[in-house]
Amino acid sequence: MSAVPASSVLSTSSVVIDDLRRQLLRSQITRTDRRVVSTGFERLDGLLPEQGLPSGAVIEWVSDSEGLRGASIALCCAAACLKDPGALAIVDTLHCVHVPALSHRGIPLSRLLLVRPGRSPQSGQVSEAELSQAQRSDALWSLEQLARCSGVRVVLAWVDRLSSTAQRRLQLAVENSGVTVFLMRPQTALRQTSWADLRFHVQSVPRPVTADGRGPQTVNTVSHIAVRLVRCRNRVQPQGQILLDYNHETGAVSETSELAGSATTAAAVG
Amino acid sequence: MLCLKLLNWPVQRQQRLLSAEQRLRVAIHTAMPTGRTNERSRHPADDDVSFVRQLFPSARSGPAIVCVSEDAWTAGVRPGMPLAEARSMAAPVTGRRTQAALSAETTFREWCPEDERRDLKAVAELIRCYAPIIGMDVAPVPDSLLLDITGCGALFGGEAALAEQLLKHLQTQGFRGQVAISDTVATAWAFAHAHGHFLQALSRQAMSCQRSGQVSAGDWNLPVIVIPPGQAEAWLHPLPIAAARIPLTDADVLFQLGILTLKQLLSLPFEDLPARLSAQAVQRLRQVRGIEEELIDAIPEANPVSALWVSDDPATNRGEVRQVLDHLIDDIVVQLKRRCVGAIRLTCRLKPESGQTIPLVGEVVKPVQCAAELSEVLGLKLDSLHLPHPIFSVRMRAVVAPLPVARQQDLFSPSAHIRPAEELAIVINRLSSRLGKQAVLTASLTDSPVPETSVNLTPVITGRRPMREIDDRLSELVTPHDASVWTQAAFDAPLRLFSEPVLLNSGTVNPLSGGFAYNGRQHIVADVVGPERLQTQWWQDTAVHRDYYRVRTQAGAEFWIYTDLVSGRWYLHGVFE
Repeated sequence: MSAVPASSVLSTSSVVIDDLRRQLLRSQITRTDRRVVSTGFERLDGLLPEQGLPSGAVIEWVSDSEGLRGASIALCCAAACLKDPGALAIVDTLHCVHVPALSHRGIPLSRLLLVRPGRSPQSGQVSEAELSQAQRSDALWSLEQLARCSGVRVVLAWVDRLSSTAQRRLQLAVENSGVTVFLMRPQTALRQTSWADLRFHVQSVPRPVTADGRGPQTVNTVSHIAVRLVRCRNRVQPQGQILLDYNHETGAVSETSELAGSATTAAAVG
Repeated sequence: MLCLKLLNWPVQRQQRLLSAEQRLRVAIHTAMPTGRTNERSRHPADDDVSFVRQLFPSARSGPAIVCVSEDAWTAGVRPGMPLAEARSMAAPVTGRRTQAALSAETTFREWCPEDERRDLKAVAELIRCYAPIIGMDVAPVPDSLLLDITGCGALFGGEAALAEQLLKHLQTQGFRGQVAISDTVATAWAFAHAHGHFLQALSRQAMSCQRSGQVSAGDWNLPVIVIPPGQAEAWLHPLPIAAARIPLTDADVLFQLGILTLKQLLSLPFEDLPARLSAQAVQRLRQVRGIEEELIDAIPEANPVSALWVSDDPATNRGEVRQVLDHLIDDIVVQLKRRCVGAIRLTCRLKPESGQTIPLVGEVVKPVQCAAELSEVLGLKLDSLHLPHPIFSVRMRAVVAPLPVARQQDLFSPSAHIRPAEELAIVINRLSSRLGKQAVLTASLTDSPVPETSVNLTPVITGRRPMREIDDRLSELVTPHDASVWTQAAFDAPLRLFSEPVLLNSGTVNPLSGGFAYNGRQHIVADVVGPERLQTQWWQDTAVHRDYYRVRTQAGAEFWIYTDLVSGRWYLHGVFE
């Protein structure tokens, strides 16, 4: 009788534990009317306990900095959710959402409801951190109202600070209405408590460095984005990340091929 | 849309004022022409006079007949005839004033266009229960009322039944009318006036002007004409061009060109028409074709839905004012239910002891009869209102519209009756009440290549949007449709576009080589894609000359930067989020 390698035992047991976790989660999900929609990215679906984005959930997308395409990925997922009835509402506090970009991400503009609370921000006001208290409270109120409305399918909003009370209210609102709320959040949110059902961390993957210590001199049309699941409600420890390709010429977001993924994962982890 | 034409309106109106003997032979004549009308104080009735003088040249120099009853016509009195001639023709043969002689005598009455318009508005009040929005015909010498009956047909067993009941109702009040129902105001008017404006038709009859090539519109003298949705254009084809309400001068031009029917007119290349016809004629044709929407200019209600609260004991704080508003809303809702209509706007005037009256306006997307919903909308508005003094009186008035058809609730499924469009309408009401109408928007793309003007944002709640359009818009917002129906933008654009571009490096240092500071961070450029040149026409007021670059930083972020080709300065215009 040949001995079984220790590494094989470990990997088998981790698969079993994963499977048990998923079964536990399914038993904890009591709501029967919760719908699950594929994100449009097979590997991202694979990371999620329900194999897709649930309706009636708050989902956070945390980006290390602006310009990292976190919102673009969220919009791709939102477009998938819009196969169900309901509008896509965007709470645009800074009054700067550029509608043609939504159209390019697969959002039909006929389904878009743009909510711009408060006055138009002053010149040079480029982040949510600079908003006044009144603007913040109007934005939060709008977000909650939209999250309560069953005529809305997805709400997308940029929020930098969110109290636990506000998060809990939002959670109860979406559980009742079935709305999916996407919150675009800055890196500082990683240090804050979260009541979100899912939290993704979007990071840029550094490009491979050449022998002379400098990056490639040729223009690379594709860059990699790492999407890591850092929080999942119901106490199941989330695991894993996926890599997405972003094509700068076409603006397309797609899953990284296996070979490219293995090469760049090392860079991301390193 | 429904067009109610009151047959031979000036005569019909006068006949109601006369005794049974006198009303048989009636002729309406113009007054003696006076001096020029003051253009500044021009009244719609002045346009009526101009129209009649244009139609009947004899009316320019003296009193002339405008229209006559059937019996007067038989007696030989004709529209366009000078009054003196008409009097001589209509004089009774016998000199004794017997009963028979009195009935044979023609009654001449002076034409009063202002009174006619006023009485037409009075007729509108009689038929308020058939449609919430009623307007007067915009043509000179109006003889018609226009009714927006969207959604009202179901209350009467169909649109034809509504029309029949309306005519019966008017008959009991002593009015004679004809009804046409069609998709738009212009087509409904055309079917009700198949021979053109009633004075034009009378004028043609009077002159027996069977000019060569004159068309016969067929028999359209039916009491009720209902054109099925989408079939109006086919039925319009045989009608004469006068049915399109085009001005007389344009009709003459077309007649000289041999264009007699709407089929001929509508088949002409549309882009050539502005060179041949007046702007008003082109607009009328656009309305007939359905390219341009025609809104009914609603006649204000004589007896509006309103409520009043006055007290010696003033409302001193916001809570008390709210209670007063709720009390008035309850009163308003009772009136709405009695009239079977919904409120689309509530206008309140809060009067303090001293100082100016404070206005408070609450609007909803779709008409409602629900006190709680109206109270919520006004309450949100009240929260943002400054109330410096105690309030002694509040007057509330409702703008009404027909109620949407009630939804059927499912007994066994708690959520099956929920209609997303209605739920969305409620949240839009709330958001618009607190944030303002301009804060809740829908978007469409324009043809402009300039990023700042490439999008058209429209508030969901706008004052004068037809109910059907609002329903369609709400339904479109919540209904998934086939991906092939809409076109996806071909080019990637930044998700965040700054309304005012951010000046980089004081505008002078090239950020492509030296990097740039933005939002408290220093960004070093790793990759650049571009330039993409954007130049608009030099004759435009805000000409744009820019070279755009898509810049990827070492941190992986991507920005949209441009250099102004005129000033040479560098700006950050957007972020690819």
